[in-house]
Amino acid sequence: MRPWYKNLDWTVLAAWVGLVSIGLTAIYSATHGPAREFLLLSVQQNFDRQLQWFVISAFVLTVILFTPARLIQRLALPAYAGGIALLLGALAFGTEVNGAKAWLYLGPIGLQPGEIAKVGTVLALAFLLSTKEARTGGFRFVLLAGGVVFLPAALLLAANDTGTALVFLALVPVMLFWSGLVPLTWMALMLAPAVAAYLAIVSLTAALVFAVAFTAAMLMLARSQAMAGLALGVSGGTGIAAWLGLNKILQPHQVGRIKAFVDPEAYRLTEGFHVIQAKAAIGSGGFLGKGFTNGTQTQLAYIPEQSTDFIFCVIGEEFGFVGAMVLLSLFAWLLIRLASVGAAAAFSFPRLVAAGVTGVFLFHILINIGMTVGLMPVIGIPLPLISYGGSALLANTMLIAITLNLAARRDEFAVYSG
Amino acid sequence: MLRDPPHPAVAPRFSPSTSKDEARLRLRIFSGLVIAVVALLGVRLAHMQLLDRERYAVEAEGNAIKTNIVRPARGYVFDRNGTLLVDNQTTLSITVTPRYFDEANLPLIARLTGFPEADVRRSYEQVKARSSYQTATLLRDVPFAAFARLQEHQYHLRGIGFEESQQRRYHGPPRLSHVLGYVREVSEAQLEALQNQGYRQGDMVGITGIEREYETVLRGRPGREFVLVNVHGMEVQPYEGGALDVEPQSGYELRLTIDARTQALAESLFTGKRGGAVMMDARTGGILSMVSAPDFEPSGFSGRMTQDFVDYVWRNPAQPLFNRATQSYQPPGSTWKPFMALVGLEEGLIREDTKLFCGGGYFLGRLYRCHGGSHGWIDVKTAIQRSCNTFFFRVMNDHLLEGRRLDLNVWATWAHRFGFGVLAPLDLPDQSTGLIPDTSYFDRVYPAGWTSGYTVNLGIGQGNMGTTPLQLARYTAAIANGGTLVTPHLVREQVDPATGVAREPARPRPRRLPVSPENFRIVQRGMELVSEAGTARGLQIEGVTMAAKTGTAQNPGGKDHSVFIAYAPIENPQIAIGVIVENAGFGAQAAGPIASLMIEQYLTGRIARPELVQMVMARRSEGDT
Repeated sequence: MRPWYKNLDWTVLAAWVGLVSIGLTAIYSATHGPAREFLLLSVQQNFDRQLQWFVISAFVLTVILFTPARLIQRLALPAYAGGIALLLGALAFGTEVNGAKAWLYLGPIGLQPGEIAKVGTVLALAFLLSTKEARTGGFRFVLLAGGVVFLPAALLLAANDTGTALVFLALVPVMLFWSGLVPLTWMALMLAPAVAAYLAIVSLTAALVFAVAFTAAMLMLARSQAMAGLALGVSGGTGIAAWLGLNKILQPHQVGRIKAFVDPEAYRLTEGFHVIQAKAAIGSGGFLGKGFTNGTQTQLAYIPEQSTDFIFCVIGEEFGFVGAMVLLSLFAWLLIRLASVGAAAAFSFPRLVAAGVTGVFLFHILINIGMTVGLMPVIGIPLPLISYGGSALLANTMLIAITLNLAARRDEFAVYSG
Repeated sequence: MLRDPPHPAVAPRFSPSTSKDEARLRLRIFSGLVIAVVALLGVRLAHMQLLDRERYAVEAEGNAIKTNIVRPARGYVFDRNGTLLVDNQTTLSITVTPRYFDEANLPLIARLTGFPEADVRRSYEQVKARSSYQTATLLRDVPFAAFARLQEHQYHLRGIGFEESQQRRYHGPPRLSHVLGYVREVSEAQLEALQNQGYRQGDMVGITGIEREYETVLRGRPGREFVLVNVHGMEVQPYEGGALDVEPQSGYELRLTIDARTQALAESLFTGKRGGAVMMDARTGGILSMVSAPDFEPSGFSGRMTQDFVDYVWRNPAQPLFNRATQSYQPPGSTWKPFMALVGLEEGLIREDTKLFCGGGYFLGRLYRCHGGSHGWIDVKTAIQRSCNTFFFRVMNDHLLEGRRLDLNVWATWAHRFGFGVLAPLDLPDQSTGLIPDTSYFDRVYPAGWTSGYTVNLGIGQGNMGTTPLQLARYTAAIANGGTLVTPHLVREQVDPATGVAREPARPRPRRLPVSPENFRIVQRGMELVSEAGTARGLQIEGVTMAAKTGTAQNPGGKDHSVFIAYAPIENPQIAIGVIVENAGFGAQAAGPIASLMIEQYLTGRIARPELVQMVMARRSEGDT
């Protein structure tokens, strides 16, 4: 039996270091370039604090790598409970930032329970779905898994942190998909509403065309009229509901937030402003970018939240297409490697953890970068390992470390798990 | 290990599935998803950063690059000898950026600058109401000493800055108020009209005088400066290090025809009087001196106007802004007689040797008295010399040689030819035509009918007519030069400060009057006699010969206006002058001495008659208006 460290995928660690370095570089540019003088003192310190969090994260990563896999499995439910406790604490004692009660201060350290709770939720979900009971328990466990995710999501919605809540919801289809508990047709049924809703924002016709095409595909693949009817119901229904919501029910400013990315010019002075500025930053970066601390959009403060949610604009503007593609390639490598090392394990728990981790990352990347390039609505979630934010960096590092740990000990694992 | 069906998608049941194959399939699907997301974002980025870069760059630059207009220096003004009359001075303004400024420091700023704290606070509130981030002017025209005090404290006055701006600086005497005019910051109303000429808020624009007439020349061409501004509109640094900036081009320098020393003397001679004087080069029409009294201090319009100045300029019955040299008209009195002589000669009513009888007056319904008693039989030269009213009443009204009689409209046409009743082509914006009546005028004013009793007075320059000092000087110049009606002008040349190239402004050509030289000679002789042995003999200048005519404009409402015309020297006339002093008596009492002294100053470069200066200075215009 090979010792665990020989199974460790060092390329993932290298990608982690690379991504965090890019993040630190971008945060440095956004907070120590000419833009600095327009920033609040607290924001000016972001780079130094992120550097401290990097050291803390590296320490935690090392500790996790040396932790026995069995212990991690055992800690899954307690970690989940801890996450829920933090979320409740934030609701009760949290500090409101930008309208969301997303921060909990423990003495001098500010935590974002939403980020921390991801770790416990992924572990708990993997734990539940990998038990023997789950394999025989059938649909009951699907519902249980849903409950495990809905609880933190509901707490986050209550705290008005919609973006992070969506991340939790995205875990459900990803992990069910990997668990094998749900056939692909049902997976498709679960994903179809998201696609239909997205299309309905762009155009009702597109949503309806999708609904019809999806129904036809289901009819052909599942060869079941019931499934086809269900498909038409969820996709068409969601599309129409989303369209009605946007055009008849929601207030103009709410509609603006959602629709601004489709036609930012129409909302130029309000919700579209940030989208226009973000796209101008990235687009004007060109092939090689304007150079470190030389981006006018970044340094003249045209981009909001540029060390956190809109950090990709700094990279796109100052390092251009080349820089953006290096970043995307590192992400792609990280995710595919994490999924592969997970898939290489013979047992469900490590596979499901890997699936959850990659799912969370992928959702973050799609929404965050999609938002800055005008493909997604402006939803405030950070870019993993890049955006400023200690809790997120720590939580994301823990997720990677746990996946690497379980994958490296996949042989060892067999001893403990049947 | 359980074996699952090859197509799990079609198995509608919930079953655990851990097979390696299936895991591989799921990994493939999942990796495909990752690649799809990355590819989607990558394609989008390629589209934005490679294909559409230009469009986004335009958007980003439109954001960040602000164009500042850099004001050019306004052109300087010199007199005919190169004496500097007007240039610019730098004034200091204090600026504030409210976001960085601590309001608790407002009293300190008030104390250091000496401005009232209430003013400073009011100005600050206005700036802050506009924008917290934008740097704007807090205090204008800060004295240098206050600026220095403030600078010492700048280290703890965050958000406070300084800005230089330019203001007109006048190097009088002479004040030349009505010639130079003044500039003010362009008003909202003017801006509407001037916007397409590139004027912006805060620009200066000439309001009167040559500042207005030569606005386009004096103004120069504004430069452009590109700066980077942040999202709050704050200027951060020059764009591309200022490589693309365009330097402003200073306005043209103006060299006036004015003689500063004569002008200064004339202004002081007008002390305490109301009236106007124009002295011009009798050959070219270049105006050597133009006085209007009372005048004003042009620098009073620079920067902040004091309440005293505003009251003086706008709430003054004497109307100092009114240019009495070009806008105010009075009956010319006897200075009109040389004109009447020329008209009589040209129309064939009289000849050089025609003698008309003066019995001490002229009877037309009533007796129009002649001053100086009876002149007996008198010819035209003597009539001018002795200012005989009867002679010119008869030229105006009687059937003379061959039974000819002067028609009113013919008379008016002659007046127009000599530049009366019409605007002169002068390079100043404000002028009056004066008044030359014709039959339609009398029909309009006296609809019940009018007789020659209404018009006979016009023969001696009284009654329903008026001329300006400018018109008098121009007409005198035409007599002096023997029949050329010159184009009066104030600017001799405009000089490009960058190249030093001077050019003369375009002007209408002078006009030739249809009067025979012989007839001019007769009238010139008459005017020479006025000076040698007539009403102006007390005004002779040592070493300078002069031809002149005095006049007294009867003023039913108050003391008569003193009028005087002259040219000199006789042998080779260089200058012509027209002077009107309101409510100051006979022509030889006020207007005559002023003209005589101005001619002496200009032609001899000095004043040899201090007692005459004393006499003129002591004389005042009477009455309130």
